[in-house]
Amino acid sequence: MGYRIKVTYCGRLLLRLALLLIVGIRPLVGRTVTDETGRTVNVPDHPQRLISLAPSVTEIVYALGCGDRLVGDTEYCDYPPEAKRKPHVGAVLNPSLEQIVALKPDLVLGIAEANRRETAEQLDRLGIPLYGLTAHTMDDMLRSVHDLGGLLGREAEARALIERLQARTQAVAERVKSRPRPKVLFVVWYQPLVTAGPHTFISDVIRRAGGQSVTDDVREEWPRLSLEEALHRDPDIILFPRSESFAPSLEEFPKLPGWRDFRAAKNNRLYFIPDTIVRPCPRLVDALEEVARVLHPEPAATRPATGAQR
Amino acid sequence: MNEPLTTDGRPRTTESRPGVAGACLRVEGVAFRYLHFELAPTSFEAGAGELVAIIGPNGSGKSTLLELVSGHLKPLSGRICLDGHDLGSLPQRRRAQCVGLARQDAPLLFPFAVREFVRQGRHPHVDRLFESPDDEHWVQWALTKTNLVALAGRPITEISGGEFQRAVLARTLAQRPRLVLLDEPTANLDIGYQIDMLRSLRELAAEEDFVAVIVTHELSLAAEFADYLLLLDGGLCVRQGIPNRVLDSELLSRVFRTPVLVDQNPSSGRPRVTWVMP
Amino acid sequence: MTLRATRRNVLSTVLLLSGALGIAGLAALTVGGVHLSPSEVWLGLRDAGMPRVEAAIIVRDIRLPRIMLAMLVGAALATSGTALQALLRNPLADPYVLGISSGAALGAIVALWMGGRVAAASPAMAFAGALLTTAWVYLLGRRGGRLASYTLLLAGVITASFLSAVILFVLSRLSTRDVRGTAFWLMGDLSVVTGVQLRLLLPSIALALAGLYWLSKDLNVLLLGEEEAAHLGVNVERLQTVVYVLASMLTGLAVSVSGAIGYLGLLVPHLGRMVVGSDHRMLLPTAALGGAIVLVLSDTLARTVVAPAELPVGAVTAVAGAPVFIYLLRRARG
Repeated sequence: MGYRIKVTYCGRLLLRLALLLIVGIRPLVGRTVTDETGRTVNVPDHPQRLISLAPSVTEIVYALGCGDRLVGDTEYCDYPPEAKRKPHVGAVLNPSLEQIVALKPDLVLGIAEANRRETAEQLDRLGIPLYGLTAHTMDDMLRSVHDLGGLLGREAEARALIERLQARTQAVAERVKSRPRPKVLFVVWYQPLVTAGPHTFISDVIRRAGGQSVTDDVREEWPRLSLEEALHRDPDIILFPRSESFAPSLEEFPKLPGWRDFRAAKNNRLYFIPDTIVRPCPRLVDALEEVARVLHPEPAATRPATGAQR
Repeated sequence: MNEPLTTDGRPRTTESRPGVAGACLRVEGVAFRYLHFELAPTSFEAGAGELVAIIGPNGSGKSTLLELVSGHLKPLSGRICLDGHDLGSLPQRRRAQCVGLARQDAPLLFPFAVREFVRQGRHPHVDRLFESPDDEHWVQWALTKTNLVALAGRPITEISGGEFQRAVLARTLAQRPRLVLLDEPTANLDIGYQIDMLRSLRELAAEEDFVAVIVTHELSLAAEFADYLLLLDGGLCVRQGIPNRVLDSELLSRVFRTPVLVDQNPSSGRPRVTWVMP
Repeated sequence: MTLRATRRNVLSTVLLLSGALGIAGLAALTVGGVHLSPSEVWLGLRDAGMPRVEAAIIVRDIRLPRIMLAMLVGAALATSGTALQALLRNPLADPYVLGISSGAALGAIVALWMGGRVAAASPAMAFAGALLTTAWVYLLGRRGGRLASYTLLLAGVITASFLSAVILFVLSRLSTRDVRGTAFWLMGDLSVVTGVQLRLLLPSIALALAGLYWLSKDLNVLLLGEEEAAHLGVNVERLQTVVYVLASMLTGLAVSVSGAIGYLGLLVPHLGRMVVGSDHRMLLPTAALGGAIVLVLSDTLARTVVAPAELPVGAVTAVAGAPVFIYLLRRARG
């Protein structure tokens, strides 16, 4: 009797160990890394099924040539155009967990500024790894490209892309090096007036493009200014992001009360720039070049070739 | 000017019917004081089957006295004895089992049926969450005695003021109390219902052996149906006794500050109060 | 219509509504952003193997906890609304009129503001906010040492306004992403639920519901008026305090986990009264189960109407609740 009990006990123990091994094997495959937000994540060695939870991440994934590994993205991922045809998991802020699970991803990518902490926690609980990126400056964006390249096994492509982007950035820096810096007001939204603080990549772009943001002394990320305060800071140039939801046209702005008193409005120095300036992806450099052109206009001959992200 | 208690022509039911366990109310020198008002020590007695009416001008302390008699308001001095128990010292639930007090109810915003409304009167007696068949029996009894059976299923918000008054009486009766206290029970009723209510109250008091004390403005009705009257003025009981003694033209004219005439109702022989036009 | 509150009637009603709730729950399990056939759902429910099949993950780890949360929160809010309407003798009372949801919202938002580990514990902070507000309004609402329904209502409304102003101030200091995340919570959001939360919520809510049911007869009498109830032997002061505490606890628990889902606590008691009458021995279970059913259905809509995106469930209850409210108003007038 005692012998039989011992056997069944050993049998059960072995079964449990076996189960533990099978269960535990998944985490054993892959490696544990720390993502850009400081969380520890267990990522697979060769992720083949990616889901992107932010448009900028989608762009970087495509830029690294891994667009075919992307099995799902958000409704707002619109560049490159192929991204719009991928299965959607919902909006950036509250993606559908069910959709994510149904797509069977082995790695989900998100950014700290746009996705909710709760989404990360829920994916954690379901055992789906979420790697978080973050970007406050252009260098951060480049680092994201590098990190993603490492995750996806595309280090060479990442390096090449970073070098190209850095070359273009450097070219701009050279061009505007010795020029006087005009004062720039970047208008995120006009009613109420919301601008960009010094710790955003918008501000970083303006600085590199040879400008001086008038809100560099403000502490908040997206400070709300009164019109009087903005007038007091007297920008030389006012920039607006070009998007469908931005209502008045450039000709109408100088007619609006308060706005017409800006020296920049009187001198007709109001400009739209591509709204990629709010997206921390390789096309940010396009925006950089555009802003540099606006701040420091070139004669036609020496204008550098604009281009796609490559 | 508290008159000594007299039995002056008033049948002492508790003594004249020995062996019957009728209720017995003894109010002994209760006094009270509000911020600007004072009720002087007042005493009276009543037995089962008797209807006592407290009358007097506005602000004379009638409602206060009624509330003191219920045991709900603690007197400054004196005590209320019901069947030998000091009402003030009884636990609240026990007191609700033997004293029913109905004042002008607040209007209800919630659509209880009349039967449900009356059923609330059984609350002090129900130990568990649901009523027993015995409780339902008393609810039906109360509805019958107040002629509300036909309206039993109607929402309480859809009946007239007078019917509501009767429902309040029914609720009080459903409590099966030993002491029934009613503040202005005939306020919204027409003359037919007024007489009906007071007559049935008296009959019920006799049948069920409880004491009824009412506060009323209807002097003639009080004269007709009450066995004992207390006339209050400015917190003082200026006279108490059988209607014939209390309803005196000169006294009433003084207390109510208007000339009144007290004569006799030809059909019943009881006093009748009429006003005198200048 | 009035259904007399006998033991048998109450039991029958509870059984009937529980059955309806079960059906609603099962239907909700089969519906969602990802299309699963009933047989897949059934397999998913039974699947115990490791690693789990996708259907099992979706059904057991995503939908099932969420549906259970909807049932608990719906029951809690509807019951709290019923109890507060009785306590305040006011058919317009809802669980938030005494400021508890504002206190919970402030707790959650402060947790977000502080960031880090505290931010992760925002439901606990929200509950703490609810408790503090409950105590504060209680102390403020006493008059002459007694709890008067009128002063309680006044104290609650004032506190709610004040807290809303503070919330707006703190919101202005949060980063954009946190503000947008908060918006979900403020409107009512059932998508975030952990097993730990469910394990804490179930017994707490069940206890509070049982406690209120125990007092349901006293609540009937309280509706007659504070004085009248006292004359019928009810210890009014004690009853009011206990009902206030239990109702606040139910609201606090619900709001801490799922934000301020509106209209439920106001309308379900009214609908319940229309069907079974005002006797709380019938009304409380009807409201609780009815609230659970309504919220499960609303949440199912929230998950499917704009799939794959999700609406906050508070948006669905508001959009559905407003016409119901108007209908009830017209019915009351006519």
